[in-house]
Amino acid sequence: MTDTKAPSFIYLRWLRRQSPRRTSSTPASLPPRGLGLLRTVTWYLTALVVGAFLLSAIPFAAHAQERRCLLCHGKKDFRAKDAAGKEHSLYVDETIFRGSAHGKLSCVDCHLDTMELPHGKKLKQVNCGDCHYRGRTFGQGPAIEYLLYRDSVHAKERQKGNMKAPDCASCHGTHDILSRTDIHSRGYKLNIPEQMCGRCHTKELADWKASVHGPTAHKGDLNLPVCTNCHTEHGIRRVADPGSTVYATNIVEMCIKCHGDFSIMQRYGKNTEEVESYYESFHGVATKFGEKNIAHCASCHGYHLILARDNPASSINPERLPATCGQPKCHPGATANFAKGKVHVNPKSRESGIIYWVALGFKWLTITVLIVLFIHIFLDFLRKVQERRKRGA
Amino acid sequence: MANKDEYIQRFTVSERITHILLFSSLIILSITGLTLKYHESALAQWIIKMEGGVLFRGKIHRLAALILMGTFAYHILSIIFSRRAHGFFQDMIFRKGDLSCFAAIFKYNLGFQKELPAFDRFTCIEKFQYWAVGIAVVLLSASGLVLWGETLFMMVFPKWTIDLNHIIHSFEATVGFVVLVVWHLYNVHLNPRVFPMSKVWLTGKVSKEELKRDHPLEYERRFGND
Repeated sequence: MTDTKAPSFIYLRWLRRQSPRRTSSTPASLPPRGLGLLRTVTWYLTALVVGAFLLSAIPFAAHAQERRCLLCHGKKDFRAKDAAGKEHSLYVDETIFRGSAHGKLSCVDCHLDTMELPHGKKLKQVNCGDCHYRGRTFGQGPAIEYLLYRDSVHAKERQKGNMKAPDCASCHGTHDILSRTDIHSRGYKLNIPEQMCGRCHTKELADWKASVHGPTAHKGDLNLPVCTNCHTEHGIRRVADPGSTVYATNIVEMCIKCHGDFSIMQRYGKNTEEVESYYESFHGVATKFGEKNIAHCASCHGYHLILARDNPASSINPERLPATCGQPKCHPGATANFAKGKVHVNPKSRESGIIYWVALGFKWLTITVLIVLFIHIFLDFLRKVQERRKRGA
Repeated sequence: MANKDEYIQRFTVSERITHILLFSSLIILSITGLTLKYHESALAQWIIKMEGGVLFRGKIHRLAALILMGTFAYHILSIIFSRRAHGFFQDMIFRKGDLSCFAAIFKYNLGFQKELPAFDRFTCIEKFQYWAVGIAVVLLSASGLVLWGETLFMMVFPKWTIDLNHIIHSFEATVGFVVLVVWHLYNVHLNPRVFPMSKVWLTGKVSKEELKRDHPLEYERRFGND
């Protein structure tokens, strides 16, 4: 595909012969011309004759066909009515398409059911899986995203007939798809919440934006968690689905991807003690053993609207902590005493004060008792064996 | 010389049942408790699975605790109301010579002393173990009840006392477990005098010969010096 200089030259000459008035910058000015089946066949035959030399130029040769698509679809006011009588624009901006990740493909590479031009009836919806699941000889190889999406809540909703649920194009767009590394791409990390998920999940978007994880708190920092960091990208499941990454027994794993990583937490002046102490606590142990009605990170800290402790609206603000602990399923009747003392207590950490010292004292008491007992038992055993031998003799 | 086949009653049926209830509830409590404390080990994880999950494990633990507390209450009541149990308890109280007794046992085992001190009904080791278990049961029941009704407890006390209580419960239990398993099981199982097991806990009887060897003062009191 890279070596297209020579064929493109030939191709341009050929194009000029075909339509002398056309200039490449104004495709919309092409006069509408009827192209019969015979001409198409002739064109393809010519291409065959050129053979191996033109093989590398297949994507380019297809451009010629695109010209013909753009005869109609290149017009800004090209519209059609759907079954419900609603008007849709059928305009395709060539500049945007050429700049997209698929810019080197031709229309029929995706719109596979185009049998003749102009196509009379409405074309089928493009199936991205034709390339992105099965793979192609160029560009994208076979990928798992298609399978992940197939089992996701979005795909299942669509199967049920809820057409509000997104398919590929709902999030990724159609002719304007950019690589996720492109800062203008919808899939660029910082654009995902607003340009993808938040278009439907508006409340979650607003909560996330106001939270400590939001862009205001991070100011362009790429380390902030966006929707997909916790919910994954294509295989998003319902919270109640045990296969979901945010299911009660899995969600801690999502939080500790960052909060359990000291090198990340260090940058924000934090450490990973909360994670360690959580796993020391009964809540942590029970969650680890698969209990789902036990407090995990989000039970106390919230999901999208996670706020700092000193924020009065935060669920872990000392003023509001009793209400958080006192949720009907947890500790109903919790009083203000629930907020008196460190919440994340690690008996192995010196900062826990008296708890650390009592634990340390007990540890050494146990060790001392064990040593004294073993010495005593060893001596006693020797003596009694001796005694037994004497009696036997 | 005392007859080898002559037996005397050392523990009554009620005392033996108390002992069975005590050790069976303690075994269940130890298994369900220690697996939670050492939840990181693969063995503990397997046992918790056998116990029906980490929450059901807690239910078993509480049931066993109720049995233990009931046993304890029964023992206290019998001390108060039964003449025999009252005497049993009085014989368990530490006397003057009991402190030096521990040193004497060490010296005897090291070979610095020819004879063991003459024991009465209960040796100083038996007394120590009795009191260790008694105090541990009181401490663990109290701290366990606090953990059981933590919301109720925290109506009065701040959260950090619960955390402290948690530490005391788990570590005190570990010390108690170590003392019982290592020391008591040695005395009644691995001890060459009784190996593989002393049957007193089942029959309640000891031979006169054993009584004379292990508790000479009591023997003398009951049968005179023959």
